[in-house]
Amino acid sequence: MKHNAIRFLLKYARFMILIILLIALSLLSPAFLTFTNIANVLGQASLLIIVSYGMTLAIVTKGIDLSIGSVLALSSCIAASIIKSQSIILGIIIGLLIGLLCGSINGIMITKIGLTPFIATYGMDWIARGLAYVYMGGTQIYGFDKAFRFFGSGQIMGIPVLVFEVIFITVVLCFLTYKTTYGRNIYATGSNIKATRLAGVNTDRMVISVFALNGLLAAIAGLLYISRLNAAEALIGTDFTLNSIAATLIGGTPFGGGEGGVARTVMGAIIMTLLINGMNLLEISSYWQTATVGFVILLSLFIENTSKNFLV
Amino acid sequence: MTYAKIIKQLKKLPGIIYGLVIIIAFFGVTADYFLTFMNMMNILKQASVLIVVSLGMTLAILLGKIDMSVGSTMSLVGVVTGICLHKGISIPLAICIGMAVGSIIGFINGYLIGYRKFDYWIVTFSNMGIAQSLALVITNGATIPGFDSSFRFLGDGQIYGVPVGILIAMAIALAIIYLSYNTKFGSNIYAVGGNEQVARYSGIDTSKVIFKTYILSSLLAGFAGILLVSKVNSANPIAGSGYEFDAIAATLIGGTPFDGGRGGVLGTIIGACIIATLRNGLNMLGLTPPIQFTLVGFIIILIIIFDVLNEKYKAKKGGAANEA
Repeated sequence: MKHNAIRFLLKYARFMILIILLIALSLLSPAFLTFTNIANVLGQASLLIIVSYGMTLAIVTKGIDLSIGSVLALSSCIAASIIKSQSIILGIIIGLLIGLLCGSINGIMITKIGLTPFIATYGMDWIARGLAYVYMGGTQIYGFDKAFRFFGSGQIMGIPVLVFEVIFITVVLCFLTYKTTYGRNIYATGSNIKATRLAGVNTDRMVISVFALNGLLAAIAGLLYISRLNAAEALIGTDFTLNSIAATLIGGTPFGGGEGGVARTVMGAIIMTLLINGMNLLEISSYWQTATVGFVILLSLFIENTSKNFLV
Repeated sequence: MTYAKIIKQLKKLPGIIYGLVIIIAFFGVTADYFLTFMNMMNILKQASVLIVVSLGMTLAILLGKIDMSVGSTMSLVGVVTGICLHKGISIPLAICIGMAVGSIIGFINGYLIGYRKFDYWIVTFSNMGIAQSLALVITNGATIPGFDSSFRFLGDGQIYGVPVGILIAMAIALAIIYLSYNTKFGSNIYAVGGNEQVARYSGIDTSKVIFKTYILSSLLAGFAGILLVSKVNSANPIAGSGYEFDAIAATLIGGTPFDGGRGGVLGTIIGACIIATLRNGLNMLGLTPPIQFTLVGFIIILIIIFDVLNEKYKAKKGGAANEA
């Protein structure tokens, strides 16, 4: 009887966190349930959701990607300068290619050289961030064309365009991971890489492609971010890495690999965005944010760990 | 038995020392003022901070794990000590308070990894964020400037021309060398790093060993943070960020590979000197900070790649020899 209650609590822990957050925030802050704030939360959540999808795929393959924030910054800074000087389409294509390239390098370092995902992507984090600073030379690029700004800050019938874009990406990724051989191979690689290799799957290629996809998603998020912000600089996106790990874990993709998935991460990303939005509304110093995110990660590890003991 | 370990490490050292000599020769030729007495002392001061923090990292890597939180623990302990000193608390007490705060980070790491068996990457990475954030909260993002000359003596002072910092670092290094090569706790670290399960079956309380090592690592990081504050005469809440990366590189260069149970702290001291020289040399070449930042990241990742490939090659060769 007692176990059943705990089991129930653990199973629906995420829903309850979300509902408690919603109720608490609307009680504590009158500004929370306003139209502008909700639109703001949706916009913020959209970007985090896109980035977290990449993180989720990396964690499903039993890896991690610490370079997301910096790859986002590097690709969007270079794209921004091309968008300003050349054309929008060329800028977008080059931005996406840079994301793809950084991600592929991560994947190659992990599979062909044998670095731990943590170290390989942490190194990439430093290098990409440094390159972004070198490229920008301390300046900012701002004031984009209206056409480019539409992707990140436009609205269709009062709903942010970002929401439609996220729904589109979600559908594509859900189809890819749940309905295709490729997607099932990602899960197989994450749960037992040796057995999957023996079953005839090229696991190296799986891991490289997942990290490449990760870089691509980071670049997409970066482009949308600068379009929403109407500015690009080298220090953007530093919070995304830790936030997306938190969103993935609290969403219910465990760290062991081979389980969970992108559909669960939506919930995690919304919880994280609400948490951060709430802290902003309550005027808590933004310096607390990273600590809160860290605590959320440790808390979700605790939930995962305890539920393992109870749900066996 | 214990001396055999030290001798084995000493035999490996010449290779690393050649590396150091090559780097010094390179910068000596390319950068003006690199080979001056002043600059050499400067490098030693920089190295003393890195040596202390790398010792803790080496112990964690010897366990077959890692401690990503050392850099932000340095920042946190630095600002806590700085605030205490400005409040008029005596130097030894301020240092103790700082170290105590730092050891809380190690306590959380050690408890979650040792006793709860959480993934060590994600735990120490989260704690890296938490410690960094707390350091920013305490100072509200501002740098705490200017300390007493008696406190500055720790990291910036000299005795007969030799920086005090490096003397302190050497004293701590000797203590850790003794601890890791000559005590039961030290051999337990090697045993857990070699094979955790076997270590547990042979009666070692592995959880306790992991717990203690992480606390030790955070204490060392904390002390490095204090040395850093004393050296630069200000406590910056993000001063320590990036030190974890340097410490990992120093450990790997020093001949302690990621898989744990092999290598030791002796090599790490030279490894830390190499990284400190590299950073100083690039600075002396007059490169702008962003380029230095990128270049050092690049070099460190190359060093790590080289190390991993080397280990792979050796494992392959060893495997072939065993088969034959």
